[in-house]
Amino acid sequence: MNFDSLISQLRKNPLFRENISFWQDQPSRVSDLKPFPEWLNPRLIHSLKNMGIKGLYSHQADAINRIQKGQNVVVTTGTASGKSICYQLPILNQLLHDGQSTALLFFPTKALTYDQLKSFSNIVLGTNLILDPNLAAVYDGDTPATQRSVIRQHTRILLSNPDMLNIGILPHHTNWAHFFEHLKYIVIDEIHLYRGVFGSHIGNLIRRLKRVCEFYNVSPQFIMTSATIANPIELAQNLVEDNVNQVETDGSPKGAKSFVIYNPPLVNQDLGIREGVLATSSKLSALILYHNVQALVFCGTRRFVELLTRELKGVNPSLASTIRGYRSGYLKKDRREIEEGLKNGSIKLAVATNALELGVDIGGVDAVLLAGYPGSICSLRQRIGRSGRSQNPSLSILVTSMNPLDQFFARNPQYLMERPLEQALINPNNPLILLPHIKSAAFELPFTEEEQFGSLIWEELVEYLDYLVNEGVLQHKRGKYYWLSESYPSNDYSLRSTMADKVLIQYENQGEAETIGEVDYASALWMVHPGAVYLQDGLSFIVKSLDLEKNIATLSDHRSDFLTEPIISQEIEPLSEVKRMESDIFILHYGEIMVTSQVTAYRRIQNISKEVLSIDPLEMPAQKLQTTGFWMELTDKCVNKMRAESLWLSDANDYGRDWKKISEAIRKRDNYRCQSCGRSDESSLLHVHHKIPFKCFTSVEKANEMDNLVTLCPNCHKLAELSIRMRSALSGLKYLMSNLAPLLVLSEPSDLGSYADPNAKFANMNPVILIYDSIPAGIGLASSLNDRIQELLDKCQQLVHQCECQDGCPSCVGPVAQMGLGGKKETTFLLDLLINGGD
Amino acid sequence: MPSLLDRLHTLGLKKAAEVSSPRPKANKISMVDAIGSGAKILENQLGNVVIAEKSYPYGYLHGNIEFKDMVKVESIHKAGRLNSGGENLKKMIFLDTETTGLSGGTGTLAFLVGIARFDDEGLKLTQFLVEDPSEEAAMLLEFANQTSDIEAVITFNGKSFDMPLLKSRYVINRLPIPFSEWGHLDLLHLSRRIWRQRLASRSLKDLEIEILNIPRSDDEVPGWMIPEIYFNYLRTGDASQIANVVYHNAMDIVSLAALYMAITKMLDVDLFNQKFHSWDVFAIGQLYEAIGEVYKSISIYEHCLSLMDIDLSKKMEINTRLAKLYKKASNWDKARYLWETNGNNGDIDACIELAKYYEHEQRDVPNAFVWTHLAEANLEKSDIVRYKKKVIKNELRVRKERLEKRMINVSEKNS
Repeated sequence: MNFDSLISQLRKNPLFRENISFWQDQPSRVSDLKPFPEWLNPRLIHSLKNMGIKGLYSHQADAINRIQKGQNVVVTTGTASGKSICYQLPILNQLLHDGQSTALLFFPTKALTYDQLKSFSNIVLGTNLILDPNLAAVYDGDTPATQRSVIRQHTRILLSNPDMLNIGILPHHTNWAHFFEHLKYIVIDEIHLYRGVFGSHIGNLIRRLKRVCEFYNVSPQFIMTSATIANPIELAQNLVEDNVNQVETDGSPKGAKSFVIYNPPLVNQDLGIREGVLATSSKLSALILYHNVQALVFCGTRRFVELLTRELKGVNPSLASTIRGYRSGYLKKDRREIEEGLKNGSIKLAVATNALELGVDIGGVDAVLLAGYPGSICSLRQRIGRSGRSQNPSLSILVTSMNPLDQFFARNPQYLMERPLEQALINPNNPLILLPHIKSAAFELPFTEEEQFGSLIWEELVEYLDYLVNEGVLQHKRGKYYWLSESYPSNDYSLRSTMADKVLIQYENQGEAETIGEVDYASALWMVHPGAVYLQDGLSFIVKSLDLEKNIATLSDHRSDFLTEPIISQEIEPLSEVKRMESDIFILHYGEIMVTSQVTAYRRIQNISKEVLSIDPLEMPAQKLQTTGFWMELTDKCVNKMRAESLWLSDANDYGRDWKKISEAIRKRDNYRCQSCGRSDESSLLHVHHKIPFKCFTSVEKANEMDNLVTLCPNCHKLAELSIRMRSALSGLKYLMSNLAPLLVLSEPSDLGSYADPNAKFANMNPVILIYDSIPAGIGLASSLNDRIQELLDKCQQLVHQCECQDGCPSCVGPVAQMGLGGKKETTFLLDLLINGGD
Repeated sequence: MPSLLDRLHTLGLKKAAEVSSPRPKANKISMVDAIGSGAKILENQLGNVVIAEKSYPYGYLHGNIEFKDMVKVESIHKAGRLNSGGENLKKMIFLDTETTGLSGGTGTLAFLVGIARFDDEGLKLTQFLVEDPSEEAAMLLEFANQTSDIEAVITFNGKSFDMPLLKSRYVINRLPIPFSEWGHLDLLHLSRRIWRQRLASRSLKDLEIEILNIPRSDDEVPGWMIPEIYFNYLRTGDASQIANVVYHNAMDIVSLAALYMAITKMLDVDLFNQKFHSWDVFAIGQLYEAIGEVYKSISIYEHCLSLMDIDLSKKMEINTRLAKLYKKASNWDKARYLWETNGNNGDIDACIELAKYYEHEQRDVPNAFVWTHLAEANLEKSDIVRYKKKVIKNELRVRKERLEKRMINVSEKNS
């Protein structure tokens, strides 16, 4: 039993073969080795040769030559291609040239930082050139106070993280005067992670870093690395606000790799339901274990890791000790043990979250299984990159879920192989992110009139400074802005969020409150409203109260088997229109908008049957979000074309001539009482509601049958209407667009909001689909999508056309609603109109 | 275009707590006028600096401390681990700063640096003030000029606060740091060692009350208000409140000098004829022990045992220390006596020391056995935590078994 037998089993056994929608064999690749450049210090070359390094891969040589010429560089070659050498050699070479020189390296995670320290120490020790125990050191929250001053004074190669730079180093730069005065290189590893809110913070952090460097009269070079994304140069340049050159062609050797997409079989073709990812991954893992091939299984969530690990151990009791879970939250000691076990082969299979995706040294495994698409191509490639030990052949399997994105790739695997479309976007000038960094910068060094902050010109900067003068933390004296406040601004915000308020989630047990989590204010309104069922770590709680004065949600135990779902009403108000594109089918607007959301009620839903137990009204404050978005307004021509094909479901209803009589009879039948809340009222104030929506019937008579009608008060009627999801072309397309957006922009599902309205007040009562950034003031996601709308629509169309479901499914236009309404036909037609025009 | 303020608020930024942003006042009172006598403006090549001076002649009484010339400072410097610059008190300064915050970092500035030094007439206080943040460099330069002959600095918590902060100010203003070669005696650390047990708080304020006997007047401005007073002065141009800060700083420095005098006195006068609290005497004995003056510390400990106000537990603590010193000096009789006293009062360590003493020094196995047994009994009665108890119990069992074996061997040999 071995690797080859596993491959042939997958290829030949119909049980597996039939679900494989893509199989690609990448041949092995030999290395493109270049001699050491002549300018490299001969002692360094000599030592490298002694370590068995005979030359440099072409990309390494290219990178260090560019760095030697003074260029800023971003290296984007694959996982395990030896990217670290690209900055390690220039730093060491410089140190041999001038022993005072320093370098600052920052890494997104602690684990990565310590791995890099080890790697650096190996090279330093191996080259045996500089004998100084403090030459390279990690400076982070875990560094003992006793070591800190030694590090500040003696360390030449400093490894840290953005948070430490923000809180510990920049606001104390005078303690690092010597370090900054000799700073030659700044290394930023894995810049693709610095996107969105986090990336926008990092952009500002680098502005501050450069400002401090300027004070010490140095202008260090930037060396960056990135996973493959659509726009590495753009991202790098946005981060460091300077020219950056890319090193892209990978010269490292690779073993043969097979990449397989495994699309679990449909269980219900009409509804588009597939076998679950967990069950499938479990089956495939068992197969891999049976063939004695070492493997890594990546899961999306920590809970998933636990479930799968438990199941695999149960099914394979004799191998239980060689199967391990790996995720954040495990003890450091246990994690090291698992890493070691993977390296020495004593662990056969590890089930992990993205905790194992970055950096952590585990050598390589023979097979990687991905339980579901990880959300971005660069993440997928990093995970796949874990396969392949030295240059042995290896296998990677992607198990696709029912999500539209997964199914898109199952049918269009070429997008996974080609250069990705996804862009990493940042917006350092987002006012909520910029403001706190201007405070920190003013704390670090007074601002002088006419100064710029990165690319932010003085005219814009001065607005912020004046604002801070008004707030009382800055004082404007003789051409300078001085920080005159007792506070320490870098402590007041996190690099990973905007400045929004947090709500603490507390569990009350025998009078004692224990904080078990937190959510941002806006999410609290729909996640932890009174009565909501809140899930955490597999436990279920019920929210007793939500105190928005103190920002505390109080939970108690929840033992019944129902879940809750908020009903949110949204209102949109465009504030300004920045861009506009018009055709006779649709008008595309882009600009600033105000989204007002209010949780008006929530449904209690039976967990298994999904039956709605009740709809309970709520009184929650409205939440305003000012942000950027684009909205697609459909023209009359477009709607008329749809109507002509009877594909427009959003028109107002004509209930027929007898409606008055029928509805009065129903009220009488129901005793003039709301059948939901029991309120009785005057006849004229009670509504009559169609249980199955009127639009679903071809005949008025059928729709108006007594059984389908019920008396409701206006409030309950509103809630009932809201609770029925009419799948129309509009909502189908909205579902597609928001689900496929991550193809084009690196983002989490929660980064974007969407809205569809068949009669939008803000668009002359025309139908509208709106996509917006859910971060206040936006970070550029909607902006980029707006610019690439054709691309996005094409991908939507591609997916709907390829989906084999009957009338809509979770993998294309959204799940078929309770009432059996799809929307696939309608959405397809609308997409054709939007892409090809009406003629 | 809406203002930035409006934009930030629509973006969800909560309004900051309404700052009482006072307008510039019409009748501005300058720093010099507010401080009054002894204050002047000095100009140097970097700008203006406000200087306030005051003298406290020898014979001046601060609380119960009299400023005196010719004090012996060797012991306090040794005890305070001052490594350089302590040879001549007149080349040392007392220093305290008033700052715009306590958080540290480059955004905190010292707007008042107060120093005091002894000269031929007495203590001379000089305070350097920054009228406007743009004149900080002038102040720093003036401080450097006036301290060019200084060799060491005495502070209260200056090691972790005042001096690093000043250093940072020099770097920010691109000026050479004048004090990188100075020695530094931080009285906070020394006070902690002396009064750790007797006083719940060793803040300068509490030491003033407990040691120097000078409660400050209620109308003095409390320390936490000082940054806000300076910010308000910068906003309004009215320095009338600054005078209170100057007074506060002056008192801190004079108290610092008095505290220095008080500790010097404790270390150098004849302890046996003074009415010191027995705990303080004990603490001083420990200081001498720490700086290696064994005989002095022994005599202080012995004296301490004879004081009236000492209780049993303290006595036992002193016995332990004394016994250790006697043991080092191989003065076994004295050590044995002290151990016996403690051992009979339930001290387990003393019993173990005695067991060791009888076993190894006296080769008296039966007596060693008896003390081991008593250690066990004491252990049973004691309330030390269980896991520790277990460890000691094991050790004692091993010791007892060994001693038993030796006793049997001996009796076998004898029979």
